[in-house]
Amino acid sequence: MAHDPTKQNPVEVLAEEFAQRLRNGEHPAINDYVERYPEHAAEIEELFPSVAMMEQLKQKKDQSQAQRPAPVKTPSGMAKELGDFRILREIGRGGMGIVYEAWQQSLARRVALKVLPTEGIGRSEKQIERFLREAKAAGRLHHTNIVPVFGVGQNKGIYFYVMQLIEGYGLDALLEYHRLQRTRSTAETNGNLALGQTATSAPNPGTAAVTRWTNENTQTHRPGEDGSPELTSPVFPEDAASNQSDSQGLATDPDGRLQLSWIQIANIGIQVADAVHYAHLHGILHRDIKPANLLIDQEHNVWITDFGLAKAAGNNNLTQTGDVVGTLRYMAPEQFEGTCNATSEVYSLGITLHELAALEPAFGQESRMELIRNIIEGAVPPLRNIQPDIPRDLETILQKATAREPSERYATAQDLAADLRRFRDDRPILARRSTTLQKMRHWSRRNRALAISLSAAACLLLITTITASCGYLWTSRAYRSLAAQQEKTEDAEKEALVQRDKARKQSEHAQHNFDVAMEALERIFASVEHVQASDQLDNYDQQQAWVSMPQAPPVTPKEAQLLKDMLAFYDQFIGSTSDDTTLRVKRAEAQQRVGKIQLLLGKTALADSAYRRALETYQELHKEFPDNTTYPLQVITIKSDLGMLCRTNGQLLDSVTHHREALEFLDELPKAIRQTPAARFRRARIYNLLGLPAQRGSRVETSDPGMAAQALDNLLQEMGSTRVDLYYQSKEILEDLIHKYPKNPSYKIEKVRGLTNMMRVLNRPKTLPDPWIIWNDAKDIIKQIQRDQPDNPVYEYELALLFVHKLQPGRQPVPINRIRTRLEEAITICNNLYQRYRHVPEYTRVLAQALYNRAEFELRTNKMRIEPARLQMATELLRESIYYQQRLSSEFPDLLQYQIRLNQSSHRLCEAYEKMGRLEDAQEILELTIKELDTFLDAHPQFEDARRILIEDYHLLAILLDKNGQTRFAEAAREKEQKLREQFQMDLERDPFDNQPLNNRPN
Amino acid sequence: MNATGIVFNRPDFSVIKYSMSDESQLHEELLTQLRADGETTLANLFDEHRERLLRMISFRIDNRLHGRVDPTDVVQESYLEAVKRIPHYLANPAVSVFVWIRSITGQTLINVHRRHLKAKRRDAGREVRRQPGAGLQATSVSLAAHLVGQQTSPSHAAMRAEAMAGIEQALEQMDDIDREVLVLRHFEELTNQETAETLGLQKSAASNRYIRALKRLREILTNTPGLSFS
Repeated sequence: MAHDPTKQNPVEVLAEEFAQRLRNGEHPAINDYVERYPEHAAEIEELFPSVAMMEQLKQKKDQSQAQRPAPVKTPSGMAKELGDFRILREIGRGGMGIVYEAWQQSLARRVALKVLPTEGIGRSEKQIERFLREAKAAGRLHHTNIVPVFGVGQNKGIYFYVMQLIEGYGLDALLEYHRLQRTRSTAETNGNLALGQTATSAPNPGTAAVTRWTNENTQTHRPGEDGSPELTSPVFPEDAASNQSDSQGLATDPDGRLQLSWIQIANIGIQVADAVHYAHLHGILHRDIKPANLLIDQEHNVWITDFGLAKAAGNNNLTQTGDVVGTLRYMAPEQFEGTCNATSEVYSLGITLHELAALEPAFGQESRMELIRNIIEGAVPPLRNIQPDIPRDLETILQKATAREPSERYATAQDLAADLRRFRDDRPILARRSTTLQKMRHWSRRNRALAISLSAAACLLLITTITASCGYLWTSRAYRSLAAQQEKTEDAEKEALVQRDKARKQSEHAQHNFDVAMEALERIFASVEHVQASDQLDNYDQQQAWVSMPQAPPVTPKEAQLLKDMLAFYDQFIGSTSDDTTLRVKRAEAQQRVGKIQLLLGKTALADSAYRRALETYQELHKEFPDNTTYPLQVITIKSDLGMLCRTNGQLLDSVTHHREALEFLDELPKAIRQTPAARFRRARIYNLLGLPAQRGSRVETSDPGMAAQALDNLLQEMGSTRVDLYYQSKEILEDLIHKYPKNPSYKIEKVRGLTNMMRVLNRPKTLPDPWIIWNDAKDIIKQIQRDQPDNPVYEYELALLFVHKLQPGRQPVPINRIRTRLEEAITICNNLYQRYRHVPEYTRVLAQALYNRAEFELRTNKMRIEPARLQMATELLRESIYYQQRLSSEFPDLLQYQIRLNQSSHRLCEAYEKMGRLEDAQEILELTIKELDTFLDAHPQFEDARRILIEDYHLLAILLDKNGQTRFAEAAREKEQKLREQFQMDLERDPFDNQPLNNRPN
Repeated sequence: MNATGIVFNRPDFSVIKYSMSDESQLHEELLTQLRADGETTLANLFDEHRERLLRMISFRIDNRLHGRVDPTDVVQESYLEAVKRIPHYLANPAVSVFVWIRSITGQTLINVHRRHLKAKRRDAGREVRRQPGAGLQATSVSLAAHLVGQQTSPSHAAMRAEAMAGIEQALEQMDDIDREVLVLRHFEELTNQETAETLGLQKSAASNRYIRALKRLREILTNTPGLSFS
């Protein structure tokens, strides 16, 4: 049989299908396969349980999230009798157990028995006790819409519920039927299929629920009897087809397209909500409201079944039940946090009604992860998109019932029932529509502390753009009609008044929309810039509420796309022309933001012009409104930003000029403004920016560093101070501000930045404390902020930055062990940060740096006789650091600093290998590094760091070649090193700015 | 879960199966897309198969790297690697696209192991090179851990250890490739076709091996004390 190489084992083919269906969330019964393929019965029976088990194991392993259903085991040899009950036949099964129709002999009545899966109950007495207690509670419920529980039974270790037998079908089956009808009616335009006719194929292989009546007389209709793969449609009462307007129950449309009318959906909702409310009054929660637990009987009454069963079956962790997805779909967001209350049930019912209206689940066939995320985010799709003709009131009611925040739903099921009744009777409903903007505001509030997922941000951006644009459209329309009306004031004075009022209201509305939109955009931007808002957000001063990274962080392509989309949004407003002051301010804000975005995108020229435009607007506004305190402060802020921008660009001279202008502007302001905390803060910031040590290797553009140094000197001279003085002045201002406003973390962070500058001063004057002491101060400040705001990554990052700074030696030697501890701590801090926010590239970078620093320290101290264990450790740290750096430089090939650092790390690794005697390895890597650096310097000869590394590389290469016996090559390497060194020296002499001693200025 | 009355499930045997021609047609389509816009096509493929790839990684990653290496990073890296190798693959697309990206992911994972368990790179690492794929193959130990780890309650540690040892021993007797087939079919959800391609087997052979492995597994599980399997 296996001679044909493409022929598969037939049992294997079946097993594959069986496994696939398990993965789809179905629970195929093994017996069905046995019956269907009798020729393979033995093998199927033997092997399929293993297949099921393997699938189950895998699913258990899959995250801690919800599980896919395990196939329900058929209790083989199920007793024909359970005590008083004679089992007639199986009528349904699911994760919660198997339902049998049974004959209660003592009372001579037909009942439904729900036999609970043994795993669900478990053996623990506590669980059994709970099961009995819940069943008892459910048994106390007497309501026309709740399936009565007669009692519980236990026989031979099997626990079961005894319930009234309802002859009808579940709402899930009804939904399935309608979906089928819909598919069919679109496929066969003229088809007018009789009800109950069998469909020839299932439109959706993922759902195989089949419904039929339990009536004895329909037993002949038992599916599968003819052996064909057919799906039986639910058979509805014969009178249903002609019954169009049954106000209490279900009806069908006469055209054969069985449609749940809006009124009928409301009726179902009213009955269920009433019943649920009744149960709530008795202190009982259902916990699992969903279509499958709502039954429709022949009189169109709705019955809720399985009350309290979810809890009784130990359903709190969801891992025990079978049809988890079936349950998850209808769970309220807060249930994932473990809370379930009356409003959660309002939600579940709302989602069920939503599905009845849409004829598709509110949360469709997503993966479980996605499903849960969508539920938690409250992403219920708008009904109108699916059913454009849904009555607005019904839509509003369902929207309110399914609101993400419990406080915004109907407080009780009764309230929901009441509003549904109002809708049915055509009276005004109480629920108010929640606007998109409200939703957006909630969204951003929820995401305050979370890192915003990019897709969500993009989505929000779209909504924002649309609503804010609409707002403007409406406003301008209102103004236009106002103008039109004013032209004919004579004849329509009253009308004009009305219009003016309308225009004013709409303008306010648009204004409000715009503010919300801007706020939302701020948050998106913050998520990309990886900054965090401080506590009081609602009336924030932009520059003080955000603590942003000292440099523009790298952005991923996805983030870049998002930023570009934002740009388009801002451009729209910048393009609008209006003399309205508020609008001009908004425009300037937008321009300023555009500048930041362009900076993030690496478009420095565009950033520069955007900043300048914003600056112009604020300068004009300042002239027109000299008493306003905000405008001049914005002027200073933008000036500082421009200075930073120039610095990043290597235009040091321009940078100094900007800061100088900002200072001059600040000095000319009236005293009242100059002495506000905001103005003083800005002054301190400028001092800090001026005091930033020149970054080695950051020279990018052609500007003359010598002139920049001269400009700074001139400036300092005019101010009668030195760079060290600047540090002290900024420190003094900030300490005073911190003293007065101890709650504002921005002041503290700025102080840390100033201290960092002080720490990094080369050729330290005697007056300056040792770097270690300053470092300790700075560390204490951040730790103090962290005590107020734990778990805020921004401050953790500040701390990480502080820890990865290399400390200059001071007058007092620092014990080696203390340095070691600090370097170890740095790794711990950076690693924590990285583990929690892997998506932030800057955090990866600091981790790589921390690892490198630690390794370098071991390699640099005791250069001659380093312990083998330490050497080994250093190489491992370096390799790990290199691993992260490789990832960064492949993700951001444009960020040249990453490449330089990577090459530097590779060099260190070669040094370590050389010390370990792994000469071949060292030489191999070193040659690669040299090649890379050569290419790099060809393209970017201005990077001094890269040249320094290259020189060292050749130096090391010569040593290695000597040791490897290749003396001729070694000689060549040495010559090359020498040549590079001479060239470099010449260049260095032309650059007095770098490494310039501070207290040794030319006079 | 269902109604007290009436709803019950019945297997739907009309599950659509791809015929051979469907499969090869799909394959051709994918190749065309890869030629046209390789990066996007690959990105979509990686997205589509993400769960399977992640599962493969978490199943095969060395215990020492748990927590240190993020499987999603491995997938990301594999994607970058795959993009580089598109022309190479298109020159000779011997296996289906998924099997190809899976093998790249496997290779990336090996590289990750090398990088992280670096101390052994040169000595133990040489051994690895002689046996391509070694270390990534599902071992009896890892499989046994999965079987036992889930089946018994954690409180019965002793019993667990015993069961573990028993299963391990039993799995040890299983043919290596059969064991691998089990893992591929279930933990990585590969189809028979994909399994055959991955292991370089005929379809019929892969199919029969799977059945054989299932039988062996059943024997093992029924004979191991402490496992609640019937």
